Amino acid sequence: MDAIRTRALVKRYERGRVAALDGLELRVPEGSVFGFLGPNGAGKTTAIKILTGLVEATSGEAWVAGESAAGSSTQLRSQIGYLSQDPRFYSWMTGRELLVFAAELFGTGRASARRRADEVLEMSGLAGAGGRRIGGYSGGMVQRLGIAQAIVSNPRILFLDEPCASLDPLGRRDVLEFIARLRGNTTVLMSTHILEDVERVCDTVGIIDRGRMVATAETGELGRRFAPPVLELEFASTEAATAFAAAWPADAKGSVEVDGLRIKLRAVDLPGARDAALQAIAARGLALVRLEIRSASLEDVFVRLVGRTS
Amino acid sequence: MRHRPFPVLLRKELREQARSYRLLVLGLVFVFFGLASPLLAKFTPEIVKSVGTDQGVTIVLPEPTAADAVAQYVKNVSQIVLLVLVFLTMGSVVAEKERGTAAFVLVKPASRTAFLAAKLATLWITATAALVLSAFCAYAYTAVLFQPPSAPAFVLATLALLLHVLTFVTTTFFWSAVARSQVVAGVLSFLTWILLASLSGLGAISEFLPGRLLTAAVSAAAGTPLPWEPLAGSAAIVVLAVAGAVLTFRSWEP
Repeated sequence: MDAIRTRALVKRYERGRVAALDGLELRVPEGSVFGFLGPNGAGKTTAIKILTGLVEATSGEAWVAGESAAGSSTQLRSQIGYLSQDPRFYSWMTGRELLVFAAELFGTGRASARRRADEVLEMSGLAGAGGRRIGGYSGGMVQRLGIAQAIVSNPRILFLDEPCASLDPLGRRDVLEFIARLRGNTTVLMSTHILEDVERVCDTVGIIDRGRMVATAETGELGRRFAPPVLELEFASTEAATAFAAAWPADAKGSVEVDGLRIKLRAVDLPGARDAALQAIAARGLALVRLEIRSASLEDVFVRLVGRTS
Repeated sequence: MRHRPFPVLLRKELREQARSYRLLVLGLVFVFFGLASPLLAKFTPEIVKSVGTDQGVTIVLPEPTAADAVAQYVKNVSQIVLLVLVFLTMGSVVAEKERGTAAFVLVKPASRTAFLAAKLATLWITATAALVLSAFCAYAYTAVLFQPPSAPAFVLATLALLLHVLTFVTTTFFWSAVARSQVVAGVLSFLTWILLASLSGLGAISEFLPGRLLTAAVSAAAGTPLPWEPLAGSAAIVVLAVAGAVLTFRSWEP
């Protein structure tokens, strides 16, 4: 069953001149951690805002937990948690006060809200800072507080818009581990342009570009489907790499991409290309350091589908 | 159990008023003018007389009365105090839109109407509390400096003044819900104030405008009943401003 689904979702701004979403088709299976990947301005945040009921779609349909996102019902919002891209909170409140306030907005009684606030402060690593004013928090602490308030109601579906932004490496590791632990119980839709984060925690990935979904697949399957393996060669000198690239025939044997000492070879018959490459290297006496047939990374898929680097 | 976010939002608003010292500032301003108005009424004729004497001119002014103190109080509240109140009110909604905290609340199961209702209720509670405190000070000091005005008549005058204040608080709140920045909300609020004041010369219509409540308040303190026209007109402006704020804010997108 899908926890989140959209059909031909369109959002236009500036009197219809700018399309932030252009017929988005999205399906997120229940209990999965879904990586919503795309370059800046692709429409990720707009899609999340529509799904959380903050923004109305121009046309198309969206469902979250079986509820239509149109009209932004309180029933829908009682089942979701949301961390915005640039979380802002009341600077005059303490972290604990904000979490109690957030929990009470979900109808939790005062005593339970306080207990839950302490729990999520502990989970988010802010137990020691819960009594301090948010105005004095660092960017990373605000981000952690953002995640804490998003999970304070034990949501069925969690929307995280760039959850690792402004976190240091340790904070990022903690957050990703925390998201991974939610798998199976909570459906997580996590938007990001950090490919490594998606590879680490997401079991399904959707790549969005110019308001349209260009690919959706399980994380491991994405490479096989959308970008074939590559032959990577590393030479001892850039001269050797350049000489090899110049000698490589621009025909059916495949394309060559030079990056300093490294060369990426893409070919339909990769073992055949490997043998041909070894022959060419031996014939010219080029110093080869490494040769490897490597599965396509998410970055390869992303660059191939989106057509530019993020 | 049915979920009611309004009390939660109201508590947050009231706590914010207290923590940001807005409540304190407003209370001090209202109390100051509550005490200063009878004092000004008492001593202004003497100051004017002494200035005239210095310049060799004899100025004859009638002896000030409690009615002058009430008129002075109404004038101060309707001008300087209201100005301060508009400054403190103009950011109530728009500041949250600008800062991004409105989106934090609106994505929770709290309706946009409840969000606005809590804000408006807080503004009304704050303004009412400050005005009641100020009116008490003005009454007490008028009683000390002159003679005690009729208490029921003074209460009636205060009610008229309160409706005047709440009308402008509500129109400022409307602009705060509609505008995209605090500056725009403030400018539009003052323009509304000026517009309503400039319409006071327009014959029969002026009888329905909130400005008429001020003369009605001064007359009420002297025992004249309040006319229904400005009460109805001000109530209509309040209803329209609230409805406009709710309808506009429903389609606001963060």
